[in-house]
Amino acid sequence: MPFMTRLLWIILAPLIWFLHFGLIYTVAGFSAALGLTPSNVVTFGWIATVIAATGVIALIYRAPDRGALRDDALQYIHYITKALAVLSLVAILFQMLVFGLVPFGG
Amino acid sequence: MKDYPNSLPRPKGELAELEEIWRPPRGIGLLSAVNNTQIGLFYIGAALLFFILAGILALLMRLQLAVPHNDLIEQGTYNQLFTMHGTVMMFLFAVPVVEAIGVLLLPQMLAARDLPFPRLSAFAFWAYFIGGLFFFASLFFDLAPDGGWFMYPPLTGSQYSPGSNADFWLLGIGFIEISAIAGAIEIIIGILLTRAPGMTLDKMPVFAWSMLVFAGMVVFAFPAVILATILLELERAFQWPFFIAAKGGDPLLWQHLFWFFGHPEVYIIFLPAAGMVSMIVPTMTGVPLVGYRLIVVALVATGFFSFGLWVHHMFATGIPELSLAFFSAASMAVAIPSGIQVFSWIATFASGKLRITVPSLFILGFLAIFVIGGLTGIMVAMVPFDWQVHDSFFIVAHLHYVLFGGLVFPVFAAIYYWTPALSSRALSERLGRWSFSLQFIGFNVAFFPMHIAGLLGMPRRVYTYPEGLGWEWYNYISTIGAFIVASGVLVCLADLARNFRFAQKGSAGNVWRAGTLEWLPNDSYGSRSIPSVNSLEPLWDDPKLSDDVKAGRYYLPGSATGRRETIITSPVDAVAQYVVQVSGPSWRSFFAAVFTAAFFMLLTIKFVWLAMIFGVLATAMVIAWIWQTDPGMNHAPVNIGGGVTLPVYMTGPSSHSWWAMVILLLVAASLFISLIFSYLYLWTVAPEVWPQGSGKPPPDLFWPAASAAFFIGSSMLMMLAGHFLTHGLRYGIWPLRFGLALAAAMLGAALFFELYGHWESGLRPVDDSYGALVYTFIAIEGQLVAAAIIMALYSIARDIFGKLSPVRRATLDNTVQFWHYTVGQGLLGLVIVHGFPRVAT
Repeated sequence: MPFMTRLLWIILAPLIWFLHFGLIYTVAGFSAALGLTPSNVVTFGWIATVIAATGVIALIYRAPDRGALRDDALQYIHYITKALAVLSLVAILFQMLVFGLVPFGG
Repeated sequence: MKDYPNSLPRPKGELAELEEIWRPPRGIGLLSAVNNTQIGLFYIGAALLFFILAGILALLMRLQLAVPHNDLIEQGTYNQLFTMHGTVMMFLFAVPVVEAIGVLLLPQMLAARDLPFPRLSAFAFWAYFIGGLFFFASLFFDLAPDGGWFMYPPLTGSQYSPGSNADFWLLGIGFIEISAIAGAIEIIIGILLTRAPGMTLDKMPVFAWSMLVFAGMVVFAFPAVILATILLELERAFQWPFFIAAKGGDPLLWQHLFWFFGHPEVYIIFLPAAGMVSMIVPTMTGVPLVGYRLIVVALVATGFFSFGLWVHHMFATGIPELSLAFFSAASMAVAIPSGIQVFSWIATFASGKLRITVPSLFILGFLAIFVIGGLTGIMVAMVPFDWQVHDSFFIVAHLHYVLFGGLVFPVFAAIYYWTPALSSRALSERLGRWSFSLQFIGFNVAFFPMHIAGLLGMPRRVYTYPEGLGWEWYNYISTIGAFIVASGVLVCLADLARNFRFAQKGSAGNVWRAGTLEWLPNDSYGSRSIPSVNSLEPLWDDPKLSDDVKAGRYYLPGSATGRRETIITSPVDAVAQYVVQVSGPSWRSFFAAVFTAAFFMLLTIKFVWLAMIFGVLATAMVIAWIWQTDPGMNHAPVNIGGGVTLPVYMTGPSSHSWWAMVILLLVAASLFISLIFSYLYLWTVAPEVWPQGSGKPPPDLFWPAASAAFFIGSSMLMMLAGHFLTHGLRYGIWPLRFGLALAAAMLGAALFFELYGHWESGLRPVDDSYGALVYTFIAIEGQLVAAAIIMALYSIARDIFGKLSPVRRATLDNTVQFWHYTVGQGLLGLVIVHGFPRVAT
């Protein structure tokens, strides 16, 4: 597997977190400018969270090709990918709690 | 019987030749040194100098605040003092000192002879040092910036800061950040490509991991503040209104850009310090680090999550509650990976037996202080609490607990820990314990009372205060504590002066019985031979490794090409790929830094024409410097031992220079993304100055269409140029040169059409924030276009002088890569600038 592919595997979960964070923050921050109602924004947030969480969970189950596990270095990449995915999942869900806890429109 | 790559005895003269090739320059020639050992030491020395200078400023401020109504320092000077203290500590000490330790130690830790771009390291150091001295000297002329270390407009705009003081910050810091980025590129390539054979990612020292994350964060975070400084300087110098609300700007844009850099900056400083701690703790406990893999995960995760926290510095700016809550949640989430590291260190203490040495004491001090800083960090991550203590001395206490605890203590631990690897004598345990005790006690005496003073309502950045508010004793005690800290630092300096004797060879050695490769016997060429690595602590697993390496049993025990060289390995598996010839001492990188610094200095004091002359000289010196690089296949493949024969030259994605260009382009992309953010942000703030609001139509589509056609045409010509070079003999010499020249002309034309279209439509950059942003898109693209044209002309010159060929082609490959990026950014810029106003309502 080329270096770039391996690197992408490792950072894919944090990238999904960053994308999720950026998207929900942008949509919430610009909601007035974009003409969105609070319920539109919350719905968008939940949809984005479900997609991001599904992606990260898929990554946890399907981290790099299993055939690679014969090799220590690749096992290591496998481990880092999964561990980062778990942390990213926690961060994504934690971020989404905000929609449940904070009254929107304040 | 172990099978070594090379047998003994080694040929006579092999070691002498290696020593001769890597002999460092002496006397005045030291200024031309580029080797990581010399540059790393210069770097650390300079960073400590700035630490002391900024510390003296802190002592002056504490003297002023010791009693109420003090008139020791007048208000304006006090403003300069706190601005310079913060700026110098953050930009001239904190980031450079970790970069310095990286430059000094990484090659030894990875068993490389040197980092792959030694002249870039030298350039980065001299640019930083000269720029830093110039910046600090502004204090003596009453020209130092006085708007606080984060320089918020409108206070720092030309209306409220009309002198040159703010310009010193904007141009000085912008310049120093460029040097930090240069260092980061060197570190990333060094870590990924110059590790010893066999040192796969899972066997890489934690410090290398932390420096990799650090450098990656520099690449993505620093461009945001560079863009911010460009925008504010454009506003101050040419009245382009980015931050002036009356013209569609917004001062909060500065805060977004600054803190998008500023918050990751905290982790940029902390993560390498955590890396140092993770190296010292196993040695001092005698057991491997508990949770090595988790620590690496935590480092990478912290690096990412830290980019989602910037607004937590802006809780008091009136942004919507939902946005505040996002960043409050993210601020708490980042505590998870930080906590993983702290628990791993504690578990390592528990699983081994901690030797109480000076480095251990500093580590324990770090843990105590940093955890307290982290806990107050969680407190200020709560929006209601932050509103109460914002801009109070509570924040001053919190940030010092995080930064002093999270950086200064680990750096002192590192100084005591690694000195025996560099000096013929270790530092004194007795003085070290005194230094630690004074610093630890003094720090808490100085900063703990600030929490209380802050909770009692004392604001930060006031030069004096009245009696009767209950702040007197806390300030008095803080001042005493500050002087105790200073005495602790002085004891360490005295220890260094007494015992540090730089030893190119014959250092005090592995006095701590550490397991990592920087403790191999080292000389200016690094270790005599480059070992193959099979574990995280090779010196623990193979007690004979030092002797075998020193005897030359491992890879590349001499110079294979008669020049300075090191092995390039693959980034994941660390399999040897080729031998790269690295540069030796050179005045060119030194003078390039001097001229670049002169360019920025003269620009700051408004000597524009003289600045331009030095700008041209700096460019010429950089060209002269890189003219000597890209040597081509000047030597037959070499045998490095163990039956491994490697080429001495590579091009394309296999080459280290190709990857350096990729990282440079990531920096450019990061800056461009910050610009797009600024554009969209200001649109939401003041849509009335955008074409759809103001009624002024955007330029006719002919202009962007023509510009796009020239952009695309130039890129296609560059692709053809690559083809002409590959098949040079078939086409002759002219198609390549003509193609490059035509591509350069077309690129210039693309920019011209874009510029002219806007000018012709009547849009001016001084009109409003929309106009200012449009012309900034063009200016940023113009910088890339200018660089691309210079690179094309440089490639033509190399072809004329016979330094370009189908094999020796790294110069053209890098130019093509840069070119396509420039065109891509130009086209995206056209889509945004011309498309967005047409679709946005």
